[in-house]
Amino acid sequence: MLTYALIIFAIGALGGLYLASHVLREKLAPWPVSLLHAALGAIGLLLVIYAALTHGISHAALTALIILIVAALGGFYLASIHLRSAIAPKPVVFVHAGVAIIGFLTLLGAVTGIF
Amino acid sequence: MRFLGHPVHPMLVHFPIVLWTIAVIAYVANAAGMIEAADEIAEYSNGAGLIMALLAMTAGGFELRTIDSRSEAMRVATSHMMFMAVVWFCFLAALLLQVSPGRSASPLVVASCAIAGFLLMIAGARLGGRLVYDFGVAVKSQSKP
Repeated sequence: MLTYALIIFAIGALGGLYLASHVLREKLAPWPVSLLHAALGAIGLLLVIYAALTHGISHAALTALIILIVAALGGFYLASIHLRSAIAPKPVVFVHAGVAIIGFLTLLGAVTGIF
Repeated sequence: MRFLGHPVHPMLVHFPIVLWTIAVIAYVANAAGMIEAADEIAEYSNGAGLIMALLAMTAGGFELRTIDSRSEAMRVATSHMMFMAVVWFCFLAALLLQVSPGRSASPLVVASCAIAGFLLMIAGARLGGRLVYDFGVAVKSQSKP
């Protein structure tokens, strides 16, 4: 289950990079990609939560879940800016991406057994 | 991001390029059943490549600050970034398939992931080269007296 979550987060991350590339060029990101990115992030989180509730997950995976939830909160804030048809501030995008990458790598470590 | 006055990103990018090139050769050799230790060589060089690439990408992210947001260079830089992210995930997929429990993935599938990543890496590296040679990113500021 965590591997599926990892794959979904990876695809979502590519969508996030595409969105970030628009912000870096001071352009408004396309809505469909933004929605897809959010949906993939939500599905990934739900899979990790489902795994935690049904099979139980390691401490590393639980840490990853918490970090990814924090990243998701940043994503909600960015979505609220997008809703106002404004371009998100670059520092917020970098922090959101940075936290999400740390969460992804922690989950990767948990899946591969490194942590 | 600079070290002793030199941009760090170009210093670091050589490591994943070399490590992933070795990994691709080892994956192909493993799929062809040519070298006994190829599987292990591929695993370690790919893993090291993934780690070094993360460091290179972080340094590259800092370089973005030096590029004008609305310039053609930024468009190329973001494309370069996208390409290299896909490359990273291709090599990650190869490693995960390789170390999957029971090693259920065929060596040919694993090698295919790595080859796809390698080809995309060449395309992404070309964009990185354009940033330096066509737009002078991290070069022009150095040449100022």
